[in-house]
Amino acid sequence: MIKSPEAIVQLDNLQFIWPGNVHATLDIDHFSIGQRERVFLKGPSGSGKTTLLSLIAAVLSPQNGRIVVDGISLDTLKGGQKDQFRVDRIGMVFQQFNLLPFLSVQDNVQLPCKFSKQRRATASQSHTITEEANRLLRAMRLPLDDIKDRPVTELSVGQQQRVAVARALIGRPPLIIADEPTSALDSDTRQAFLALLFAEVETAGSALLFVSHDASLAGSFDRSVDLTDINAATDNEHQDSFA
Amino acid sequence: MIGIAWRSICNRWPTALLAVLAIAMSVALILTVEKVRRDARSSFTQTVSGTDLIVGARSGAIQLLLYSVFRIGNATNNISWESVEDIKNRPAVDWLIPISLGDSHAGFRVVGTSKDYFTHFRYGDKQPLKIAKGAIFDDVFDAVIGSQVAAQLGYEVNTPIVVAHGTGSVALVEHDRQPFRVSGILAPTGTPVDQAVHVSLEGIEAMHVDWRNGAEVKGEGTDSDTIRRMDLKPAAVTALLVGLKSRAAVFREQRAINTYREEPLLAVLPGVALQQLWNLVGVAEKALLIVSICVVFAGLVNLMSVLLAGLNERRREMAVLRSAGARPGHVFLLLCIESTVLTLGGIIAGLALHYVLVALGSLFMQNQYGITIGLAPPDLTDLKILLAIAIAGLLAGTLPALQAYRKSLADGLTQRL
Repeated sequence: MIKSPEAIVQLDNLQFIWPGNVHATLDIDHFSIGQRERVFLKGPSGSGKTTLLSLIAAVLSPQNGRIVVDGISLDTLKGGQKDQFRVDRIGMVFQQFNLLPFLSVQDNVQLPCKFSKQRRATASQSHTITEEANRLLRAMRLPLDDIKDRPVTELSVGQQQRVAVARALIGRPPLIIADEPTSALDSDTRQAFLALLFAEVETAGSALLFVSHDASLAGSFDRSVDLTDINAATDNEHQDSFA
Repeated sequence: MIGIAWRSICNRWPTALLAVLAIAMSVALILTVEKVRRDARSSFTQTVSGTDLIVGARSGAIQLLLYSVFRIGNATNNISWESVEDIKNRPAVDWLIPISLGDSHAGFRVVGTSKDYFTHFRYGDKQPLKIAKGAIFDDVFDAVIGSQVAAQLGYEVNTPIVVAHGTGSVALVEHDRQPFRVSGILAPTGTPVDQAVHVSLEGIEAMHVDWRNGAEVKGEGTDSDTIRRMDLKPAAVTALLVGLKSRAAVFREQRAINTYREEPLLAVLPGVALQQLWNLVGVAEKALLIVSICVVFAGLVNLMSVLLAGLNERRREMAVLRSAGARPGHVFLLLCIESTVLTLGGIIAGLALHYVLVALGSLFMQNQYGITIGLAPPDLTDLKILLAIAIAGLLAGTLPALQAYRKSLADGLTQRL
C-alpha cells in the first residue's frame, strides 16, 4: 500500500474490458487527481467516463493495473470493505434522481451518516449532524425554512441537485464524484450550481472529479482532462453498457 | 433502517395496504374457522351431558346416539316396557329418561318422554332445561315445544297442534282426532332439544288408540275424555337415557345391560359414542381447515408478489440508497423489515377483523339459535397459528429481499431507469 501525499486518486497501467468484449474499454497508462484538486473529465458519451468512475468507486475491478484512492489500493479490498471504503471516502452526485422521495430534505442529506461511522464522526465534530446538514443546505443557498418539511419531489430539479451536493459533502469525504450533475439544469442555474459546488468542496477540503460532456464548463476547473486523450483504447464501439 | 423502511412503505401505501389486507383476511379467516371448528366440536360433544348411559335396542353405537340424541334416523327396534322396569329397578340406577320416537309435527320430531326428562336431562356444561313460557306437560294431550319449533311455527302457549304419524316433513297421516295443546315452551339450548315437540308417553299411546296395524280404524274414533280414562301404559319405548348413582359403576352397568337375557339391548357411553361420531364428521372440519390454510398461503403469495412487483419500480430507490452508502446487506434488510411490518400489520388487522366477525356472528347465533359465543382472548392454538403466519411472512419476504440484494449488487451505482 503506497500512501502518496499529494494524490487522492492514482491510476497506473489500468486496463478494463467489459465481460464478453474483445477490446479494452479503458487502457489508461497514468491518471491522477491531487488533494483538493478540481478535475473536469470530458469525453463523448460511450467513451467510458462512467466506467472510469465505477472503477475509482470500486464498483468495478480492472483486469490489469492498480487504483489507489486516498492511500488505499482498491485490489486489497473485499466485497464488504469496498462498500465501506466507498461510503467513507467518496461523496457522489448523479445526473438526477439523487434523492429518496419519501425522506425529508434533511434526512436525505444525513443519509450517508447512517451508513458511515467515519462520516458521522466528522459531521458531528463541532455540532450535531442535523445542524451540519442545515449548514450545508444553507451554504447551498437553499431556503431552509421553506423546504425543510416539504417532500423532496416538490423541489425544483436545481434545488434537488443542490440537496444532492449537500449530501455528498456531509462528513467531508476526501473525494467528490459528480457524474453529469448539471445536465438536467439550464445554463443559468448551471453556473450558479457550479459556483456553490466549488465553494463547498473548497470548505470541505475535498477533491472533485466532475464528469460532463459539456466542454463549456471546463474553464472554471483546475484541470480539464479529455478521456480520449488519456485512453489508449480508442476503437470503442461499445456504448450502451456505460449509460 | 426501520425509519427508512417505514417511510418507504408509507410512500407506497396503496399497495402496502392491499398486502396487509390480504394477510388480514387470511388471518381473520383461519382464526374464525378455527374458532367455529372448536365451538362446533364442543357444542357437538355437549349435546348431551350428565347422562351415564344411553340404552336402546341392539344396533350400532353411532346409530343409537344419532336417533336418541340427535333425532336423526330411526330406531330398528324398541325396548319393551318390562326391560325398562328391570333397568329402573337396578340398584345402581339413579334415574332414567324414556324416549319414544316415531311421530312428527310439521317436520319436527315428536318425543314421547316422562317428566324426568325436564328434571334430569342435561346439555352443554351440565345445564338443565328451562321452561321459558308455560309449564311442563300435565295432561295426556299437553306438549312442551322447543324454542325453534315455537319460533318457526309461531306457536304460543295453548296453541292446539296436530301430530302426524311418521317422521317426514310432509304429514303422512295425521292423528287429527286427538289434537294436542302447547303447554310450555323451552328456553333455547342450541341442541336438538330446540327442534322437538315433547309429549308424555301416555300422549304417544293416546295418539295411537284408534290405530291398528299402522292404519286408522274407521269410525267416529274415541273422544279425549274416554282416552284419558284408559290405561295408557306404554308397551315399549325407543331409547333410555340412564343416570347412575355413581359414575364408577358405569362399565359394570353397561355390561349388565349389554348381556341382558330377556331382550337384545345396547348400552353406550355418550362421550365415547360422541367421539366416534365426531371422527366421522371430522372430515368436514379438516376440509375447512385445509381451505383456510390455502387462504393463508394465498395471502402470503400476495405479499410476496407485492414485494417482487415493487422491486422493479424501486430500483431507483435502491440505487439512491446504494450511492448514499447503503450496502447490499442494507437493501436486503430493508426488504425484510418491510415484509415484517406488512405481516405484523396484517396479523393485527386480521385479529381485529376476527373479533368483529365473531361479535357479529355471536349476535346472529344469539338471535337465531340462542347460543352464546364468548369473545375469548387468543388462546395457545391461536397464538401458535399467528406465530406460524408471522414466520411464514418473514420467509415470504426473504425471496424478494434476496432478489433486491442481487439486483443492487448487479446494478452497482448506475441508475437504470
